[in-house]
Amino acid sequence: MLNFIVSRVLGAIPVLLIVTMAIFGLLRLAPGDAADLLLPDDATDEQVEEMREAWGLDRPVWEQYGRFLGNLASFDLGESYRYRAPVFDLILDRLPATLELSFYALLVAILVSVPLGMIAALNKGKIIDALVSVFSISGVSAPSFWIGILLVLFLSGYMNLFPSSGRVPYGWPVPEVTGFVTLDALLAGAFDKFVEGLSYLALPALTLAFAMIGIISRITRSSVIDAGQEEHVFTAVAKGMTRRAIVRRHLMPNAAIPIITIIGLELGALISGSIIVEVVFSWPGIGTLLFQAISVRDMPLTTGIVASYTVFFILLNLMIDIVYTMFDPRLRSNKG
Amino acid sequence: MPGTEPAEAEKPVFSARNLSIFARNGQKRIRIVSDVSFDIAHGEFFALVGESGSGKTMIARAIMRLLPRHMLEVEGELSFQGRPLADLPEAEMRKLRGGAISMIFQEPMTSLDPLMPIGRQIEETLEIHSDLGRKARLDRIKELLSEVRFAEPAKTAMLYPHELSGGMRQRAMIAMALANNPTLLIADEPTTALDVTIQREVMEIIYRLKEKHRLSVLFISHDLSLVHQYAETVGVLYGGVLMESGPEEKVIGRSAHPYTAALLNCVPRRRIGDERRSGIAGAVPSPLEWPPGCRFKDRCEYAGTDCAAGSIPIEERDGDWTIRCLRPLT
Repeated sequence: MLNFIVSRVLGAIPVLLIVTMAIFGLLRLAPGDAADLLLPDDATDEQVEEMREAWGLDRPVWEQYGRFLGNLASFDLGESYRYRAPVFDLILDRLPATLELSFYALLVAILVSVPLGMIAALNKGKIIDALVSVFSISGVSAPSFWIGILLVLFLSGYMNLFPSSGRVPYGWPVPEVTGFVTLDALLAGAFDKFVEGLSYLALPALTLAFAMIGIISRITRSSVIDAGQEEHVFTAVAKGMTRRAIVRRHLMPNAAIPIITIIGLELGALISGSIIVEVVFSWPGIGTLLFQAISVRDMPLTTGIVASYTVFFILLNLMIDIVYTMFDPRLRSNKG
Repeated sequence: MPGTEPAEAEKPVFSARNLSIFARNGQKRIRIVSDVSFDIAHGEFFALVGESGSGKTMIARAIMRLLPRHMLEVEGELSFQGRPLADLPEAEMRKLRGGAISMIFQEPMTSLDPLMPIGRQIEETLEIHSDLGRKARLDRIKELLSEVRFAEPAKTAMLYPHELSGGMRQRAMIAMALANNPTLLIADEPTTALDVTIQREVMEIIYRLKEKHRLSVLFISHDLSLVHQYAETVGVLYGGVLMESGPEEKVIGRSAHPYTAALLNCVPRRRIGDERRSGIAGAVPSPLEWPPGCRFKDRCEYAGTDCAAGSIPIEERDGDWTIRCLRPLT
């Protein structure tokens, strides 16, 4: 197991190189220049040149990239042009907001889609199956920014149930321990603040979850149906087991493997989805930070965020692989 | 012989009377087994023989009621230890499954749950049908596994199916089927997926256990050499119809039905029979296009025009041998 983890982490290095190289190249292909965009309109050409020189933008791209890699080796992602602060600190500062949002989105998605898919599978061909299909296909097809805007209009604007944007109001009284608003509120014993924190999370988390629910429930449905057609389910019936016991002990564990796979893949969608959703809901997370960084060609910040997304994604997939081996003994015994 | 002294004869453990099975597909109702009758006595090894598509697996599944009623309809009478199975409520049926009637399947590779250790899978059936405590269950699992010749039963119980070979899995399946001392064991082509040496090993285990526990066995197979070796009574199924049935030495030894004879001719000479042929010309017709009259007539070299007319009556000989043919060979 340890060998497996080490080899996966080492395997992440070339991925990281390729991703950062791509983002470096793409940002320099994009029109506009940080010095132009960040300095006021009346800045003189000399001032712009001075800025470019200070940031090393006058150097060849390969040299800039070399310097970036050199710094990366010592976990230094450089300094943001715009915020004039270390990129690493900026990311760390925004990370809890994004992680909290992603966690709740994933939680809602799993809690809704897995039972939904199961119900559809166990009632295959009946009306409820068709209803679930309609729901999940609309989840897959509707773009998340559109769903987000609809939710804001309806649940926030019309019904006034949830705040339409932001994370917590100014002057939030709960002391920051973990950076996760809801967790901090629970730690402080402030249940009303926990609920309030959740109310801010509700719309962006639902929007993010909606897209995942569609796919995860489709996959759950088909994997439960497939698992139900396996021979060993017949064996379980022939043993005299009840349908309930069979579903719980044989069908669900066997259906879990493809479901875990799709959840792992959806984590990637969660990362990219969170960028759009964070912008729509002014959520102060990494996605919003990235959006701002790109719009002013803040190269160190953009590259830093993309690199940390990459690391994040690789770590999540590693976790998924470890979860797999917990579920499937066939994967365990292959490696001594 | 049952026919001569019916009053004295032991009641059969299992009996099928005029069993017909229909597959349902939406509005369509297709007859896949027609009017099959047979009995299995206590401790008897009964073999149901036929080509693929003859309906033999359907009969096994109908007995255990393993297919949902909206897919499979059963007519006629099935009874187990004198109790009719047809109107048994599902809860009662569940008590029989894995209890007094148990079953082993064709594919040992896929018939066990890949995510659960062997011992645990055996334990499940003990949990359902016995009131043994945890400790007693574990002892019973070890006892069962050593009965099917695992040298280290405690260690085997911890293994997952993928850690066993095909033959070992089938032995584990047998251990599971025997867990609750069944009266009737249904073995649906238990050796088909195994290679020949392993086949023998598995058959020997089934036979030994049958002798030891006076188990009734419904053995479903297309392998006539195995049937010849182990079965006491044989039913030959073709196109969902029982063509010939009776004691092994009559059905296999003197085969009166041209179909039985043709099947025997397919068996390589080294094993049984005298003349070797490559097979029976033609294929089993699908249940949708069964001809009127005898279903084998299109492939039968003795068939005449009368074979196509109406249903073929059953000829009874010696009270224990039935032949459904107008032109029996012997």
